[in-house]
Amino acid sequence: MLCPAPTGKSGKSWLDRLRTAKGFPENGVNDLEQFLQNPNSPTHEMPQPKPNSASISDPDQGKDEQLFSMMSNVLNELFNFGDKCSNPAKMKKSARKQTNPRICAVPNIGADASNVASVKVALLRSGDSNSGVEGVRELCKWDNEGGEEGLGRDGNLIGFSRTEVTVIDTSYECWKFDKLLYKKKNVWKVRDKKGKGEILGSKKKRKVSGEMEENQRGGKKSKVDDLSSNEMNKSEIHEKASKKVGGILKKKRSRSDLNSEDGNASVILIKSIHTSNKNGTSISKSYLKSKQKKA
Amino acid sequence: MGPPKKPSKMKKDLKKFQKVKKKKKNKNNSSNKSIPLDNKAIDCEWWDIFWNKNSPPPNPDSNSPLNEEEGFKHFFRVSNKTFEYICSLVREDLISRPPSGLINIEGRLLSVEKQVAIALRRLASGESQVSVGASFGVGQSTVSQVTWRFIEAMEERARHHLKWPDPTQTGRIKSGFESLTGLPNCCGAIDSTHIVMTLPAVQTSDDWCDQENNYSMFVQGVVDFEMRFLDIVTGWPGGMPVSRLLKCSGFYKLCETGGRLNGDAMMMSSPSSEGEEIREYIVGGASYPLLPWLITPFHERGDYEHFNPVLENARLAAVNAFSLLKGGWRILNKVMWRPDKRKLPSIILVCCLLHNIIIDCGESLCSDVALSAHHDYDYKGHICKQIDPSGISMRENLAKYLFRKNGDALCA
Repeated sequence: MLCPAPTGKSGKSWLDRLRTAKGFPENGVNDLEQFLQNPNSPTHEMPQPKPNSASISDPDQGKDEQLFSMMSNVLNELFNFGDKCSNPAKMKKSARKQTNPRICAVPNIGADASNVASVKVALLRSGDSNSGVEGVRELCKWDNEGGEEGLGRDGNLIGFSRTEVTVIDTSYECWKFDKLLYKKKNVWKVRDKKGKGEILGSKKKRKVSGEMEENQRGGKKSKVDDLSSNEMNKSEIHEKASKKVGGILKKKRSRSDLNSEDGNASVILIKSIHTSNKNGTSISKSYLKSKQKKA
Repeated sequence: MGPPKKPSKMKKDLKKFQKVKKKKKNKNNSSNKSIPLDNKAIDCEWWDIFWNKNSPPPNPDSNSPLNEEEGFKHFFRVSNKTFEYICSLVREDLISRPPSGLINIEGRLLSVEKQVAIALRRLASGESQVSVGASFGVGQSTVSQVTWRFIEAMEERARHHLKWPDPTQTGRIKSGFESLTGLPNCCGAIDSTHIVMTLPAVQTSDDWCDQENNYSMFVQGVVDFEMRFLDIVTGWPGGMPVSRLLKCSGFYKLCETGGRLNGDAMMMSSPSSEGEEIREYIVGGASYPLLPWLITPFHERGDYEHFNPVLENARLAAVNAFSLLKGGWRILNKVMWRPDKRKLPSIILVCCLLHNIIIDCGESLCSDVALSAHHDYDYKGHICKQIDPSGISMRENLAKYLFRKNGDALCA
């Protein structure tokens, strides 16, 4: 990559400014090249610029170190190395993967039951002083199995086999429910099967996009109204949709009127034919036919 | 199958059957659409036919051949009275309403009684659907359909026969355990068993493989001193450690959060243990963890050697309950051939419900149907060494109490 040499503070090119803004050294052309060529192995590349920059490009050692630490911070943020590593020697040792995966920490212990479970683990640990090896192993199992349902802790489930189980537990109000069971050797993890909420959510999304369709078909208006009150986007779509198919909606209303007032049915039906578009006409025609049949 | 015992009745049945046939022909000629509910068209003599077909041949060695009443209980595990009660529970769901009702081979509608009998026989004997069907004169698919309909109906309508006791009932249970075993404030006994099945040898079946290389499903139950199930959990794979099974249960969560076993604690009265108390608890075997509300036996021999037999005595309620459950409802004891794992928990639950209904109806559970060996004899119980400190003190309090009580009894 070629770029114009810096001419001074005021004469910085856009690339330099961008580099500065992102924390890259202004004169780090080589570094950048290396970085772009080997984006997957930044750790091995990192220590190298130090002697280079010291001997060739920049005589100011302190400034270079500062720049380097800045760059390493940026790389840390980019590749999520974990703790900030200001010392290049440390960086050299650290692998791309987290040496101490974050799964070990329990970030979300929200549910009461799981809270209790964690307390229980602590209790068991403290009370296990007189247990043998088997007990310790059991305890580890207990610990490993800490991923209780509803924890919201995704965890690393790679290598786990997954089974759907239907459980009947008379302790719960609803006796029967489905769970997902993850198993890896002796480690068992239980997760809730994707709940109704999520399914509803996806349905809602589909509904937003499908509202147009629904309205054009003269679908359930009341449902559309309910949904549109919840979300801005939905209401906008609904407005557009209702403008487009206003005739149909009017016709729908007239149909409901028809249902309620049997006596004036024919008069209202004629009105509805006048206000409707093509689609609407076809519906009303079919409706007319059915009415006639009934009569 | 024995020869028909009552030729006169058989003749009667034949006549009735011919009458029904004639009636049906007439009906078909007159009106094809609506078939009125006619009792004669419904198979009401199912028991006579079944008994004639299946009653054991008279044994010349035994003086008292099996009478019909005993025979009924032998085949269906319940007395006639309890049978009627079960029918009343599920009648709404099983009643055959023409034209959609189930029919037998002769084309007659299946009565609710016959449907219940088919389902009970299938659950009680564990025999194949084909042989159960043959004994009732229906096809395999009818047995399958009827059994599942019965299970679904029972699941819905017999729930009240399996519930955690209210404080009044708990008091009764506590005194029952105390009078049987001497353990104070004990609210139940917990145990678990494996329901073994065959599954296709594919990778997806691996999770159901247990430590004995069987495919199995767990049932865990808490029972009272009368061997009534108070709480069950089932559906989890049999390979799970028992401690994990417990932890997965709603019962564990409720007990840990104070939702269960939270009744009055018993204060110890002796001067040496003043201020100490015995809270409500259940007893379990060595494969369960020791918790403040779940008392397990001592692993090491120590000062309280008298304690383990007492605890074991109380725990026997659960062991015997499972033995009777699997013995009475043999479908649970036989190796099920590729069952639907979504349906199996319902089958297990309904067997537990039937077990409880027998007790609730004041009938005695037939001890002769119980398994001769331990309900889970293939499985070596693993000793769980998970110990909770407050469980230790609770167990010691109990042991002290029993020790003192025994001492007082000896002195007296």
